[in-house]
Amino acid sequence: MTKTLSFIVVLLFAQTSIANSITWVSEQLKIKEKISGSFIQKKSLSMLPRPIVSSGAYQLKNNGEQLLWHTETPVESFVVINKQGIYEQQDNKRVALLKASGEQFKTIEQLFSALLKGDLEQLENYFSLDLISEDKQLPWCLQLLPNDENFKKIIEKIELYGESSVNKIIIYELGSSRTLIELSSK
Amino acid sequence: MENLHRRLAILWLLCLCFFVAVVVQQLNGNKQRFVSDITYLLPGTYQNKGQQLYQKNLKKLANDQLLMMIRLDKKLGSKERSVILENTRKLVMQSGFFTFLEQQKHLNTWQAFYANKQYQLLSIADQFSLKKSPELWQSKLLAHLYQPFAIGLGNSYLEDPLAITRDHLMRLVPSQAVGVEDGFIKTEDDKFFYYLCRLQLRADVYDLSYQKNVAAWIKQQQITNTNAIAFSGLIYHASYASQLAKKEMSSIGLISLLGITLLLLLLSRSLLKPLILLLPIFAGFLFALAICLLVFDSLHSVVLVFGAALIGVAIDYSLHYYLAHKEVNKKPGFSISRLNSLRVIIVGLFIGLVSTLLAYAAQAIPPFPGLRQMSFFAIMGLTGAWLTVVLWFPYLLKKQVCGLGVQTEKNIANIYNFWPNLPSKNVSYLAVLLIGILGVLLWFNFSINDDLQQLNTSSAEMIQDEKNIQEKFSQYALGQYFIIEGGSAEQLLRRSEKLTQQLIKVKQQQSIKNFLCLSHIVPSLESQQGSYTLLEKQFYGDKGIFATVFAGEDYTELLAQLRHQFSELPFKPVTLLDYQQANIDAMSKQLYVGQVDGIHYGVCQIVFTEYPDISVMASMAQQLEGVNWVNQSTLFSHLLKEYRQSLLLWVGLAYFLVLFVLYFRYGFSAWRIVFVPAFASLSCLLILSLSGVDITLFHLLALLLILGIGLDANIFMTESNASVYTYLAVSSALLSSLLAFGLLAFSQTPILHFIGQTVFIGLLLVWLLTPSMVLRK
Repeated sequence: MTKTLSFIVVLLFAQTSIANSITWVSEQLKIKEKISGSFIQKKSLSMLPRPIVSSGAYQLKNNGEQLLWHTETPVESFVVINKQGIYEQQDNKRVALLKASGEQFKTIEQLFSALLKGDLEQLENYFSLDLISEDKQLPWCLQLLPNDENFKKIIEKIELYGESSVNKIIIYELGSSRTLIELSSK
Repeated sequence: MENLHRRLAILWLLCLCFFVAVVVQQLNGNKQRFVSDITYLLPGTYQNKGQQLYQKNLKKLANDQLLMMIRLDKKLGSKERSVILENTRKLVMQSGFFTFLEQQKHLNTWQAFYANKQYQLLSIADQFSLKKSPELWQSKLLAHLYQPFAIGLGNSYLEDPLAITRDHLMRLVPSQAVGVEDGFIKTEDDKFFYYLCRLQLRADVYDLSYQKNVAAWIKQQQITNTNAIAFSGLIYHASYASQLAKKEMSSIGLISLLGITLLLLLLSRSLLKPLILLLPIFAGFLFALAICLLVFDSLHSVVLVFGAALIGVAIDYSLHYYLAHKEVNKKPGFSISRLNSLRVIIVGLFIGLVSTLLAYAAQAIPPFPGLRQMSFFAIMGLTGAWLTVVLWFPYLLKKQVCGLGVQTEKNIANIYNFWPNLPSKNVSYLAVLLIGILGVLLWFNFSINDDLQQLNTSSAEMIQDEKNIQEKFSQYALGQYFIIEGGSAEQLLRRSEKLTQQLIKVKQQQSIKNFLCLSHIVPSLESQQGSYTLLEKQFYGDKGIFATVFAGEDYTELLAQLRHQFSELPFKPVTLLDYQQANIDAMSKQLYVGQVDGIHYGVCQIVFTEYPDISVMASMAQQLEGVNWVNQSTLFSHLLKEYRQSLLLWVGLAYFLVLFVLYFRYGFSAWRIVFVPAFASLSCLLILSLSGVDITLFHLLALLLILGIGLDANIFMTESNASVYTYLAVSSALLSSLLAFGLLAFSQTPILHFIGQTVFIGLLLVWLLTPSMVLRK
């Protein structure tokens, strides 16, 4: 009986502790209206011997409503993500790569924005968040497990690293593909 | 003569026994003989066969579901939401009334349906773009590889590097685009998440005890489950309508029944006689039902209700015969033959029947199946009731009866004589003038309503629920769609693709939110072949885009695997047959309606914006061959309008027809008989219009009752030389009709309310006018 009670107390304490830790991470993040910086992206695909590496600059504008992703190497491309869809900028023209089709797209667009900003409140709508770094120690590391059915189909988990802003994102897809994005904010 | 009459009476009895057997045999295990589908009332030219079949299939499916919308505050964490949703699911399952339709399975089945078909699914617009600007697709491929968070590039990349299936599914299942969580469809606004659960009914939607249980369950959820904020589905509305009908049956129905019974008891001072007096109505109903079941494949419930109401006029025959019988047999020495009373009243009964039948037969002339069936039903019923009175009453009523008594006769005569009688000369001009004035007044005050909503018995809250769910989840409009036809499956699909191209433009102009055509699911053979050939040439060939983009050594293995995947899947088109046999939910299988008389029919569904310009759809359909725009709501309002116009015209013509026939019996004085129901009807419409009531088809249907009862009253009064017995019969018949129909004015069901208010005013006017109009000798 005593053991059971102790277990429940520990469990309750653990839950409270997790909630406190997430709050602590939130407090560390300084949400800015405009976020910009450079990135290095390494995409490991099972059928390729080496990861595909690309780098460039990114900018999150209008309170996260528009993301500009400028890949400079190995091929130059300029991608715009907003509520209307994903577009590639070509000679002053925007060519749709993926048009927004209802709320599903909105979810993806919100995810990009939330990951880069570190908007934990938004992320909690689609994922379960757990702090996996040592308690209240910088840099922190959060593990995101998807709750949303659409994300469950493609994402196994996401790891988010940072201090006052997010500086590393690792997306583990179902299968063995993995995408690592290192961010250096200006 | 008496012998012949007796034989005819026995023959009629045998006939009725036969008709009982006919009704039992026709209805035995076949509920389908009675339909409630409003489309059944449409003239043949209103709908093509594909449209009829689609509506029928859709209705059957939609009727078997209940939708429940859950609202959760965004402040709740994902775990808390999951717990609430799981509890909701348990609640639904534990009720035992429903099966929970998992939404995730729905999307999975679509993915399974298109497995290994990805190379055939490039849309026509994409095929055009790939032919015109292949360089664009090259950069799309690169951007796909390098774009931020290019997730989904795992093993599936080899099978579908251009994500054609994903794009295809996004076009195909926009309802899924609102998102899915724990088997619920999900959407959101600034403050809340909204979840929709589809519950499959486990019993027949028309099963009254099941309806009652589901209604109680919904009520319980509305009170105890604060998250459940809206419900939608036929069972929700049907149970409400049943409860309302039950409530009114136990109030209005009971008062009406008690009133009529009391009236007949007072009149006959016997327990048995009221049953005898009501017998012709039951016999008439039985006769009409049997004949109609033999003549028509199925009967519409509205026809049955109105037809039965019109047969109610037959209480006139019973009461007139009964009181004439009392009058004839009170005279001493006048009871030698059972047929004495009949001899006295037969002319009046005959003229009454013929004039009413003529008035009702006129309603069968316009090409509306509903009016024709109702007219036929009423004619048969009245004939049956009339035969019962004429053939049976001489034997059912005792030869010797007492009269009303001197004092009673005197009292009735006093009431009758209280009314001024119009002189015989020079009044006809005045009557025509009066009818003219009423007509003009009515013309300037007449306001009509052909809105389909007048048929709706649901409460304002239920209609709001419906609207909320539609708004939040952008459901396809079930009553507004394109119906496409083709001489072959391929022609049907190509026409659907042409429509799709036009709708893409309309969507870009934001006139519609979304659309889903049959060719989205099954592209034409031409499109599928085009997609496969184009990808083979432009991407997978030796000089294709893959060879250019993946030229380096690192990509040798990737390129080989991509080409291997393509060669493993030779062209094998998706067909309409695959679609029909696919393991997808029934609701999603409705876009291919089927083949009727060698024509294939398909559908394109639309999700409208809040304020859509629907006229664009109609003009678009006119420009495309084999494409028709269907707007059920407009169609039915148009139907109500045409029924109303036709009824107004033919009721008017019926008056002239009756006047013509009565002229042969009454000469120039025939106008007096027709004037009473005509004046009562026009005055009634004017009173209603001046009171701000919009006139509907159902007000006009009630005018038929006023015509029938008004004619009978004046014919019998004229035939009997305004006897007090006949006046009592007229007053009793009018009072019983007021009790049967007039009380419906207090009903909350709009149609019954309209009929009730018309009959109430109309019959009251008939009763007030009749003594003044009958020629007194």
